[in-house]
Amino acid sequence: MTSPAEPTPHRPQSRGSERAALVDAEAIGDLEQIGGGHSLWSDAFRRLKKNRAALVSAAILGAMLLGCIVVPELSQWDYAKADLELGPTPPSAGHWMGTDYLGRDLMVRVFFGGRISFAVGMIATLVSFVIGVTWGGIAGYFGKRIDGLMMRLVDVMYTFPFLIMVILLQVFFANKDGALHELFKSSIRPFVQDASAPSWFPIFQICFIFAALGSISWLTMARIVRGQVIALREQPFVEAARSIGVGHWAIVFRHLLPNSLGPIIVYTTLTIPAIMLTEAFLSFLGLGTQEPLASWGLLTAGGAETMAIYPWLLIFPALMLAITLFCFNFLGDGLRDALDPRMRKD
Amino acid sequence: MTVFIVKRLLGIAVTLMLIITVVFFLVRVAPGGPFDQDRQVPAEVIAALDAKYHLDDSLPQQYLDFMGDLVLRGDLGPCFKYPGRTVNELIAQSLPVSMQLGVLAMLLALAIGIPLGIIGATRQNSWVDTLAMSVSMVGLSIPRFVLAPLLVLVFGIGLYWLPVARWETWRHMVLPIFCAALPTAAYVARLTRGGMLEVIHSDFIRTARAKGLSESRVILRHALRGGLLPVVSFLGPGFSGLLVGSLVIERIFNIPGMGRYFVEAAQNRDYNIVMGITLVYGTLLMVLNAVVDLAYAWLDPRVKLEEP
Amino acid sequence: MALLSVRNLQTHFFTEAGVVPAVDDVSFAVDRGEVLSIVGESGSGKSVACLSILGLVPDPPGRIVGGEILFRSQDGHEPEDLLEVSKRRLQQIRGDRIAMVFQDPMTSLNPYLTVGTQLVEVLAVHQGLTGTAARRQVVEMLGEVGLPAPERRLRDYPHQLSGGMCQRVMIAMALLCQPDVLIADEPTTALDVTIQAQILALIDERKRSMGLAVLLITHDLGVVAKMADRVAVMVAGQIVEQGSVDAVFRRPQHPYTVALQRSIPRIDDPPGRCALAAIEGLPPATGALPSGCPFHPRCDLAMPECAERRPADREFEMTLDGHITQHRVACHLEDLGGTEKRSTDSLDEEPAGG
Repeated sequence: MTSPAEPTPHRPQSRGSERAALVDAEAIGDLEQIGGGHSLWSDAFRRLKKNRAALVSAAILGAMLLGCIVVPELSQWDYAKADLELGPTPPSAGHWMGTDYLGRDLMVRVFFGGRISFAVGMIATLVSFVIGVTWGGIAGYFGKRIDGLMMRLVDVMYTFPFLIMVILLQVFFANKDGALHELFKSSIRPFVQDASAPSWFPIFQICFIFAALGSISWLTMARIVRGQVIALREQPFVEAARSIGVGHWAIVFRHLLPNSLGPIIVYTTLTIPAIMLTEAFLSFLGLGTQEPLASWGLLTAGGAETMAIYPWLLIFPALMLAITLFCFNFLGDGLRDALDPRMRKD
Repeated sequence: MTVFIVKRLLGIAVTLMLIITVVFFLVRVAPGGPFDQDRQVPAEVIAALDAKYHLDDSLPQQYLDFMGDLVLRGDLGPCFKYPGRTVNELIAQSLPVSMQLGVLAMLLALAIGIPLGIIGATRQNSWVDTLAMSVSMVGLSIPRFVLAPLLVLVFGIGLYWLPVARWETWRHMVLPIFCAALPTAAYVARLTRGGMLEVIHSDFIRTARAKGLSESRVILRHALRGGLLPVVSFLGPGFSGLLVGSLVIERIFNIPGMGRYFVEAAQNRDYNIVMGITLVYGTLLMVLNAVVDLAYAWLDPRVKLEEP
Repeated sequence: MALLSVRNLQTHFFTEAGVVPAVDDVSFAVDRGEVLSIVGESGSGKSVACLSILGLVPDPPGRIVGGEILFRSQDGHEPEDLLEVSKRRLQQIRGDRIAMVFQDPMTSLNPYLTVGTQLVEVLAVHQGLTGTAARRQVVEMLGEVGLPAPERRLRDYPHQLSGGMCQRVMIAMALLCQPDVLIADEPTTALDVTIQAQILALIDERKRSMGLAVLLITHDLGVVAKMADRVAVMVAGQIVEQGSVDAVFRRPQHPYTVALQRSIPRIDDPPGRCALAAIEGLPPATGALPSGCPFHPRCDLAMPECAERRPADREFEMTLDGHITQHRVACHLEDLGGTEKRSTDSLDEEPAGG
C-alpha cells in the first residue's frame, strides 16, 4: 500500500527552491523576513545588484556612452579638422590624448569613434536580434519539417566562416562605383541636400557594416531562442491559449518569446562586444570604418602600425575598446548568473 | 556510420557547388575586373588580356568553363595578378603554412584553455578561479591585431628573444601561433569551466563520490567526458574563427599563408584566387564539422548520428 | 554499541537568505540486520542527514557544523568518527563499508560510461580487482539483483536500461564490496508501483543474506510498514519521534506522527468521508523556521511553551504485545493518551480538533 504522507498544500511546492520558500513564507505571513516581491525578474534583479563586478561594469558602460555623446560636443577640437603642421604629438595640456598623423586631436576622435563603435555594436546586434529571434521562434514553434529545414540551414552556416563572405561582400559591393552605393544615395536624396558629397560614402560603408555584421551573428541567437521556445511550447499555458483561439503568431510573439527573454538578454549583451571586435577586425583590414570617420577599431589599427614610435595612438583607443568589451562581458556574465539560479556562484 | 559519412560527403559536395556558384557570379557581377585596376594600362591592353583569359565570354560560358576545369581536372585556373602561376600552385604553397599555423594554434588553445577551465571549475569562486576567468576575459577583449604588436614589442624587439617575421624556423612560429591561440584559449577556458560546472553538480558525480573514488578520478574519469562536450561542439566554429583570425596574423607577421593572399586577391579582383581559397576554406571547415559530429557522437552515447 | 551511530548531528546550509539548519541536532543509530527508516516531508532534512554520514553534502552551501558519526566497522576496532577521519579514509569507507543508493536511478549513473565500466571500477578501487576476475564478480552480482542477461548488460549504457534496471544496477554497485551499511535515499520514489515492490523485496532479501544494516529514507509510510524495524520521524531538521515501527504506528507519541497517520486515506474508510484530513499549513520555509518546536504552528495541541522552548528528547520504554522497545519523543506533552491511533473498528469517532 502506498499513500502520500505529504499534506495537501495550498500552493504547489518545489523541493527547496528559493522561490517556493518565498511563497511559503508569504503564506505563513512572514514577509518582512524575506522581503518583497518574488517574481523571476525581481529575484534576478536582486541577485544582479549583489554582483559588484556587474554593477561596476554597467556604471562604466553608462559613463562611456555618456562620454561618447558629450565629449565631442564639448571639446574645442573637431574630429576631422587636420593640422598638418602639428603632426603627431604626445599628450599635453591642450590635447589630453595627443594628436594623430594629421594633427587631429586624438581625444575627440576617440570619443567620436566611440559613438560609431557603440552604434555599430548596438545596431548590428539589433539586426541579429530581430533575425535570430524571428527565425528561432518560428523554427521552435512550428517544429518538425520547418524546424528541421531552418535549423539545418543554421548548422551549415554555423561552421562556414561567414566573415569570409562578409569580406567579399564588403570588397565587392561596398565601394564607390557600386550599385548599392547608388541605391543608398538615391534613397537618402530626398532627405539631404547633397547626396553625392564624398562624406556620405563612409556612412554608406557603415550602414553596410550594420547589415553585414548583423546578418552573420544571428545564428546562435536563433539556436538559443529555438531551444527556449521548444521548452516552453509544451507548457500548459500554451495549450490553454490555443484552446481559447489565440492564433499562432500571437502565441509566439506575445507568450513564448517574452518568457524566453532571460537567455536572449544575456546573449544580446554578449553579442555587442563580439560585433565591436569584428568591426575592429574589418577596420584593420581596411574594410570597416573609413576615414575621415573614426571608430575604435580604425584608431587601434592605425595606432598598432606605429606602436613603437607613437604609443599613445594605440594605447588610448585600445584601452577604451578593451575596457568596453571587458565591461560588456562582465555584465553579460552577471546577467546570466542572475537569471539562471543553477549557475549561481554561491 | 558509413551511411553517415557517405551522406555527409555528398552534402558537402553539394554545398560546395552552391558556394562556388554563388561566389563565382558574385565576383563577376561586381564592378571592376582584374585588369582595370591599374590606371596606367591602356584600354586595348585590357581588352587583349580579357580576351586571353576568356573574361569577355558570356557569364554562363565562363561558368561552364570554370566548372569543367575544376571538376574534370581539379584545375582552379591561372592567377591573374601573378602571371605564370596557377591558383593550384599558390594554394599548394600557402595552404600547408596556414594549416600549420591553424592546427598548432588550435592545439595550443586547447592545451591552455582546458586545464584553465578545469581548475576554475574545481576551485569555483576561489582566487584561482577568479584569476583564471579574469585573464580569459582579458584575452577575449583584446583584438589580435593589438595583441600581436604588443607581444612583438615585448618579446621580439624588447627582449630580442624571438624573430618577428616570416616563417622559416620554429622560432618564427612561436609568436604568431601564440597570438592566434590566445583569444581562442580564453574562450575554450570559459566553455570548459561552464561545461564542467554543469556536470560537477549532477547526480552521477555524487554517485561517483559515494563509490569512494578519489576526487581526481571523479573529475578526470567521470566529469570530463561530459564537461568537455561544449568544447567539442565549439571545435568547428572555433577553427573557423582561427582561420579568420589568421588573416590578421599572417598580415602582421608577414607569413606566406593563404589568408594573406585572400584579401589582396579580393581587392585586386583576382577572381580565381578568391574562388580557390574560398573553396579550400569551405571544404576544410565542412570536413572538420563532420569529424566533430562523429567525435561528439562517440563521446556521448546518447547522441545518434543524424544524416544531413 | 550499534554499527553506525549518529549523535547530535548538525548540518547547516549557508545561503543568501540566511543560515538554514537543515539537520538540527539529530541522533539515531542502526545495527546489523536492522532497517531504520527515516520519514518526513520534502525538506525535512532526511536526505541531508544521510548525505552527511558519507560527507556528500555539497559545500558550498552546506557544511556539517556539529555532532559525531561513530562507525564501528566489523573488525570490532575502536569506532571511528566519520566527521574526523581523513579524506582518504572516508573515500576508503565510501562504497566499501558504507554504500549509498540514490533516488533517481536514471540520472545517478554516468551516461557516458558503460554499466560494466562503472561497476568494475568499484572493485578496482577498493579491492584492486580488475579484468576478467572483476567482470565475473560483477556479472554474478548483477544476476543476484535480478538483472536479466547480466553479461550483455556490461556493455550497455544507462540510457538503454529502464528505470527499474538502473536501480538494480545501482544496488549491485552498492553491494559489490559487501558493505556493512546500505543507505537508500528514496530508492523507489522514481519508479512505478510494481517495480517498487520488486526493488524493496530485493533490498529486504539482501539484508537477510548479507546481514546489512539498512538506513531507508522515504516519505511513504507504506514502505516503512513493509520494510522497517525501526522508524524515525523528522520535521524541519529535527527528529520528533523514534521507535520501533510497531510502537510508532500503533501508539504514536507525537502530534505530528498522529496527524501523519490520520492523513492517510484508508481503503476501508466509509464512502461518505471524502475530505482528506490533511495537516494544516505548509512545512516551514527554509530560513523561516518557527521558534521552539518546529511543528507548533500546525499542531492541534500546541501550548504556549511550544513556541518558546524546543522540546527535549524524552526516552522511555514502550511495551507492546509483550515486547519492550526503546522509544524517544520530543514533545512538551507528557502523554498523548486520547489521541491514540484509532483501530479499524472505531471509524465513527470524530478526532478532537480536526
